[in-house]
Amino acid sequence: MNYKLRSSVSIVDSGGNVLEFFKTNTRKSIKIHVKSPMIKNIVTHLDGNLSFNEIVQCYNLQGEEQQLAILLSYLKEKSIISNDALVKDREDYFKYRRIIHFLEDYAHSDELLLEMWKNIRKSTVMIIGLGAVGNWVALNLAQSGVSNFILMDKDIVDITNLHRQIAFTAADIGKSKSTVIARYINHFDPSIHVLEIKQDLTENNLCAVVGEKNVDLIINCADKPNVDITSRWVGKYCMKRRIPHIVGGGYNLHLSLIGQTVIPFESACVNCFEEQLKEKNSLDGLTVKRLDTKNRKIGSFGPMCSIIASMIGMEAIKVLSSHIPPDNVNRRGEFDINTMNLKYQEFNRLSTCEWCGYEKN
Amino acid sequence: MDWGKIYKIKDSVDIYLVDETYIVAYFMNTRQKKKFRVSNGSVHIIEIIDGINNIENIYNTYCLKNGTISRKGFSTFFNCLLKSGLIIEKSQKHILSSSELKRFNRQINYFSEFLSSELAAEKAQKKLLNSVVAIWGCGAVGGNLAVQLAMAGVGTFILIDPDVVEESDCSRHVYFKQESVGDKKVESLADYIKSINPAIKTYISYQWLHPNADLSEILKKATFLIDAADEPYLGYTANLISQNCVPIKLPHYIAGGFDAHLASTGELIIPYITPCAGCYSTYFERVLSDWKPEHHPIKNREKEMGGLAAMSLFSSSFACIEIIKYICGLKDMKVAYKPRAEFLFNGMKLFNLTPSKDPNCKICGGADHEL
Ligand SMILES: [Zn+2]
Ligand SMILES: [Zn+2]
Repeated sequence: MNYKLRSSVSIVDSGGNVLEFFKTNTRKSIKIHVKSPMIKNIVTHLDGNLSFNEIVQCYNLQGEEQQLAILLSYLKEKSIISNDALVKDREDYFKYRRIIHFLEDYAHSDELLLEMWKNIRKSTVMIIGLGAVGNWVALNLAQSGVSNFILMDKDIVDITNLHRQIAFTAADIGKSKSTVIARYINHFDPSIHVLEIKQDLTENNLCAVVGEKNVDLIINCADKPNVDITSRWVGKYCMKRRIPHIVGGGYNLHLSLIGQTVIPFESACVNCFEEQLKEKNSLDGLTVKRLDTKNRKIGSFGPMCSIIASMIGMEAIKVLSSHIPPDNVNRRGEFDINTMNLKYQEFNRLSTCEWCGYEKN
Repeated sequence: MDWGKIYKIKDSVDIYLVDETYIVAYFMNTRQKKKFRVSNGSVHIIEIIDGINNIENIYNTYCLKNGTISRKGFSTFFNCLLKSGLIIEKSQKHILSSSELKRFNRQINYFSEFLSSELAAEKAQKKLLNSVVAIWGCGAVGGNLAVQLAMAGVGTFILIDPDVVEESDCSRHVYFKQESVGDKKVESLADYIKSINPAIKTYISYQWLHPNADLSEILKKATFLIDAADEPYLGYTANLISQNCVPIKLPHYIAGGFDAHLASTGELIIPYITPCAGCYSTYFERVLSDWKPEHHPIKNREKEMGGLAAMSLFSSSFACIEIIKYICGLKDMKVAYKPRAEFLFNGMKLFNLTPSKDPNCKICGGADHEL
C-alpha cells in the first residue's frame, strides 16, 4: 500500500512545531505537534508513489519504522492520508468522484469509505410531494449517487409551477410530475430506478403504497392539506417501520422553515416537536379565533424553497451514508430573507411522547 | 379616500380575534404583533375585505347587513387599516402580459409583501424580465444560477464558458444530459433555460477570463454580471471582474461554491457602496496573513476534490435571493447587502465574514465617487 496526502487536504506550518491539516471539503482543521522537522518533509511529499519501505529508505528512517507506522496510521485514521484505494476500482468512481472524495473526509479507512459509498448507492429514498423543494432534493440526491427512488405526487405540471419548480419545462405542462422527474433524473444516470406513485398522500395510504418495500429515508414535502398534518401522517408511519425521515419544511413568506431530521427512537419525533410547539404557541388560555382572509394567495419564491432543498440534500447524504451524524436532529431552522441568517430552535425527545416516549412503552 | 380602489388583507398578515374584544395582527415579515381594540362592526368590515370589491361596494355590503354607518367613520377606519399595514392596494391595471402574469403570478404575490402595492410588485417582476444577466463560468453554481434566474423571470442571458460537458459533470451540473457529453457547456445550458421559458433570449461566448480578455461587448450589453468562474481560482477571476465592472458602475455578484468553499454564499457587489473584490483581497491578506499552505505533492489535485450538488445549490440559492432582492428593489441593498459567509456541512451553520470597504482599494478606493 502506498501513502498519499489527500488532494483536498492543505498543510500549513503554524510554527512552533505545529502542523495544521486543513480539510477543504468540510473546512475542518486538525493540528498536530511534531517533534522533528523531518515529519513535515515526509507528509508534504506523500504523492502516492512510495510504499512504507521506500519511505523508510528515502528518508533514512531505519530503526524508526515503528514511529513512522504510528504517524502514518494516525494520518490515515484522520482521513488526512487517502482512504480511496477500494473505491477507485469501482466502475462508478470516475462519474461520482467528487461525492466519493467528499465522503472521504469522514472515512478512517479504505473499507469505511467503500461502505459509505455503497450505502448511498444502494439506498432507496422516498420523496412525497414534487414541488419547489421535493424536485431539487430528488435531483441533488440522484446526482450524488442514490439509485432508487419512490416519487409520490398526483399532480400534473402547470404553467404556474414553472417559476419555482426545477425540472419542469414548458413542454412538460400537462404531464405527470413524477413521470417528468423520473425522466429528468435518468438523464444523470439511466440506471436509476424510479417507482412512481401517482396519488395524494392521505392519512392512511402510505402502508398500502410502500408495502413491503425497503425504504431507507422518507422526505416529506407534501403540503396538502398542510405541512403540519402531512408530517404527522408521514412521521407516524415512519415510527412504526423505524424509517429515518426528514420533515421537508416549507415556508412562511419571508421565512424558509428547515424541518427536522428524525432518527426513530433516537431523536425527537414529529409528535415530540408538536407537543413542544403547542406549549410555545399557546396564547395564555384566551379564546382565540383566526379571522379568515378572503382570496388569500400566498406568494412563493423559488430560491427560498431551493435553499431548504439544499439543506435537506445535505442531511439526506449524512443519513444515507450511515456514518455521518445528521445535524438537524432535535432542532428546526428558519432562514430569514431579510437578514439572510439561519436560526435554529431546539427541541427535546420527550420521555412521555405517545409515539416514542420510553416511559409510556 | 378613493372609493373606487380595491384593497386586500396582506397575505403576510394573520389576524386573530381574541376574546371578541380586540384583534391581534401578526406580521409574518417582521414578526411583529399589533393589538387593536375593536367593535363587532369593525371585525365584520375586515371579514368582507376580499381583494375583489372596491371600497364603495364593501361599504354598501356592510351597511346592508349591519345598518348604515357614516361614510366618514368608515373611511377613518379604512385609513387606519392602511396605515397599520394590514391591507394593500390591489392593482386594477397591469403592465405585464397575461402570459407573464400567469407564469409569475405567485412570485409577484411574494414580491408584493415587500412593496407598497401590487402594481409595484408587477414592476419589480418587469425589472427581472428586462434584465440582461451575464454569467461567467457555467459550471455547478453558474449553471444553477442561470436556471434559477431563468425560472424567476430574467429575460436575457449572456452565458460565457469555454469548456465542454464532461461525464463527471453529471454529479454537479443540473443541466447535465448524458447525450450532451462533449458539447459546449454554454450551448447545453442555453438550450435548457429556453426550454423552461421559450421567451428567454440567450447570447453565448466561449471566452476565457484572462487579464487581456476584451470584455467590452459583454459589459455594454449586461445590466448585471455574475462571476462563477473558478479557474485558475475564484479570487483571481473576482478581481478581474471587479476591475472591469466597478469603474462603469456595473453591479455584480461573486458567486460562492468552489473548492475549499463548497457552500460559501458569495457576495453582491454594488460599485463604490459594498466592498468590491479588491476590498475582499485586502481583507483576506489581513486575516489570513499567517496562513501559507505548503506545496501540495499531488499533481492534478482538482480531479480528487470533493463536492456535493446540494452544497452548490446552497450557494446558488443564496446568491439568487440576493440578486433578485437587488434587481427588484425588494430591500435597499445599499444597506441590507450581506457580506460573504461560509455555510458548513458540518453543523449546518453560517460562518459570517467581516470584510469592510478598503479606503485604499486599488479598484474602488481613492477619490470620492458620485453615487
Ligand atoms: Zn416522540
Ligand atoms: Zn474595493
